[in-house]
Amino acid sequence: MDKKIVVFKLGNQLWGIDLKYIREVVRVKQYTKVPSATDHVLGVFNLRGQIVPLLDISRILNVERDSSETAIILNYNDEAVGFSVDSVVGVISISDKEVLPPPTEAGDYVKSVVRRGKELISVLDTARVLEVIEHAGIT
Amino acid sequence: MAESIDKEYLELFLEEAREYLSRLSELLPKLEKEHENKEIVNEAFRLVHSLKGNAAMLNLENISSLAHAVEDLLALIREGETELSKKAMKLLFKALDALNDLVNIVEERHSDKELNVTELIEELRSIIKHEKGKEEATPSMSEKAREALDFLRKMATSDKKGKEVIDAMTTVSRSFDKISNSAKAKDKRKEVREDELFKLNDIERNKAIDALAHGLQLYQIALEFKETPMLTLRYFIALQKIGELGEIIKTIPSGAEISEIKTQRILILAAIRKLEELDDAIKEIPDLESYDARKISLDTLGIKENEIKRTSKTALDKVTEIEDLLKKVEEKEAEIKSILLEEQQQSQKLGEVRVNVKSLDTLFNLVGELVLVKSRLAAIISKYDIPNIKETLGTFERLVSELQDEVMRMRLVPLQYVYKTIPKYVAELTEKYSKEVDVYFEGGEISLDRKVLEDLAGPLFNLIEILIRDDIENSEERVRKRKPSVGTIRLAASREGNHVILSIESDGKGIDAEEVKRRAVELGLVPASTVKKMSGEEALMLTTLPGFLLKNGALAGLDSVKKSIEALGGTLEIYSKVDVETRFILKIPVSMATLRALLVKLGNTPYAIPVTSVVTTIKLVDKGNVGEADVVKYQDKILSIYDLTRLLGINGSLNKKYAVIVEKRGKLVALAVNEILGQEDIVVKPLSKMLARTKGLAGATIRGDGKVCLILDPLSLVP
Repeated sequence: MDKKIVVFKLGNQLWGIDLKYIREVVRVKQYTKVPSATDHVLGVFNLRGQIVPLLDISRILNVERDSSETAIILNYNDEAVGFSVDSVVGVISISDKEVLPPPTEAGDYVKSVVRRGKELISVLDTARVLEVIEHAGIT
Repeated sequence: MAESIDKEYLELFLEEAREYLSRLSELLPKLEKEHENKEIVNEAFRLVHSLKGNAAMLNLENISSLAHAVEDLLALIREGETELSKKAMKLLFKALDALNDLVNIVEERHSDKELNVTELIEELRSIIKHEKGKEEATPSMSEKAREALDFLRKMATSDKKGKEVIDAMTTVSRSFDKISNSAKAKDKRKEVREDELFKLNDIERNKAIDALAHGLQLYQIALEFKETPMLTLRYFIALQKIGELGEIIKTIPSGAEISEIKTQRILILAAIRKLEELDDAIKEIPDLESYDARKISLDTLGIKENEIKRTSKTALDKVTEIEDLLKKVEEKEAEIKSILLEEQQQSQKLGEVRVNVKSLDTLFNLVGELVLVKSRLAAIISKYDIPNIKETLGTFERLVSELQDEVMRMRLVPLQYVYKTIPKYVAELTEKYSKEVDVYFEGGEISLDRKVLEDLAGPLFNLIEILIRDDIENSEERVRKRKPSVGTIRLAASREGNHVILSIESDGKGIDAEEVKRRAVELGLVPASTVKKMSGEEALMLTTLPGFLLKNGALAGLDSVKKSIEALGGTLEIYSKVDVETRFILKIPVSMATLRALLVKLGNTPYAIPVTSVVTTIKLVDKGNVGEADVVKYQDKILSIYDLTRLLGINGSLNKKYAVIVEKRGKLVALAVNEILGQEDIVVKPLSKMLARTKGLAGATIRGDGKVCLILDPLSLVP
């Protein structure tokens, strides 16, 4: 069965998140830093009157990146959470046969890998990423 | 007659009547405790008096005659001619209930004939007669005030402080006039004597001279109003509008007389700059039939040219004397403030609009729908790349969220609204159960959503009844236990993140955990084996099981209280120490509650601190060191300084100029900040669950510029 993923760029690599988690993509012009929160938390911002945390997953995924204004808003436990990403490439449909198992060096957070032309897209284990960040947040 | 009451006036009457009665239900229990407190009597008197006047205007005879009788009884009390007997107090409460009933009947039937109050009026009359005969008249407050005023008038001259004194005296004099006139004019209606406009007393004269010295011109302004039941209000609007142009020297009738006299023609002696300005101001006065203004010469008022110059000079030798006088004036002022308050409220009302609660709810729901539509619209638009529409959508979204914030804010009601109904309820309960109880309140300023507050009132009242009924001992028993003979119930509210913590405690016999355990087993609510392992606190929660009550029937009803609180999304905890205290702690969510916050800057970022945790703010001048620690002198104490930036784990300059003083465990500490921005009411938004447990944060709010501002919980940061 075909599955849709949102493809985005983070630190010169392509990543994918299952579309079912995603609420929208927004530009975050300004956010407020949260002192004493963990490194993954860039801060909080105002999304139409709602306070949404903005997370930098590059530190978990261990990639280097510059800051950007683009953020993907995900649903997590009925709350909105923002992932700061370099840019959003688009939405693609993938069939089961395109999905390769992750190489062992990809780490715990990559569920699978999809090849498109020359590019490899690492599809995130989104629930796992969010869980790790949430528990890291408790100090 | 009654059927022809204009609906608009009727609504105005009902609203005002409810306001007066609600305030009275606060005042009477206070009066019961503080017989001698003139402020309370005065305020009650004014309220009843206004109610009487309003009712008479609409031919609501039952209300007006009942109010009249109550007013007469209060007048007796006010003049010091009677102390409050228990009987009189009871009658006052009864009359208050009857007035409430009458007002409700008026709302339904547009008439107050359905309820017969003659008997109650008779009772009041007879007690008035009885009390009047009983005691010798003591020198009344009016006489005492008169003496003070005469003295003041003699002393007030053309001094440096003359203006201040004169202003203060005018205030005193006006309020004093109001008191004595309304008492005097109670039965005989006064005639308007227009020729008195130019006969100025010393205060008015000084006011006129002062205005002339400031280059204003004196005018006689005659206003002729159309027939309207809202004459008093129109009168005050006129005074306000004209007052804004300069100074009102005198009016015929005076402010105190207006509600008695009801004349449509009003004469004003005012000092203003230009006649043209007056024309503009007059246009804003409603229901005006005609007006006329003419300039008044100094001769007419008997003021000499050289007097005007003298006012600007100073005579320093009397300054100290005047200062003493000012103090006296202030004392008098405080005494009379409550009476003035009513008048102020009347003029302040012009800056506010009353909103029907139903309209507010409709608005709230509409905004809710608007938010949904907005999200759908945003979702649709985001699929297409239409030029310029994103910016427009952004603006639209911002507006909607501002609108939502504003409406939520409108729905917030301070806890005070529930607090103020409690004393009357407690008075009823103490009589019912023959107990003596004082009630104290804290945190009345904390606001909750109207609906939450509404649903909270019921369980709150139940808890108070349980405490009075089952916890507070009767006086004899309390004395035997060496406790104060009067019991205490204390209600205190505070904010904790997105919750309001409400504690209700009493100093009665307490709850014995062992007895509760035995009883719960006896009633078959829990097996004996379970109970054995329970701690004292767990055992107390057994009282909230359905069907629980002690052998003597005590503590019945806690299960339904718990249920109602849980329905609100809140929790109930019970603490008790035998013969020391019983305490119920309610934790109620208020995600929509606002908070009064102090805004400070750390580095360049603003942070909010709930004012409830702030003692004061200071400029860090008297800084020093004790060993390693920075300290500052505040009053006569030495406080440790903590850098708030450091406490939050951010780097920042250490050289901060200001500090917020907070109290933790009875100790004051200074938290250094870069800047103090001031106080603001903020809407508390929940932090994401992901961040909810971050140290030192109580929540967040969105400020006017759309930026998120974090709310700090400074106490949790202080080591």
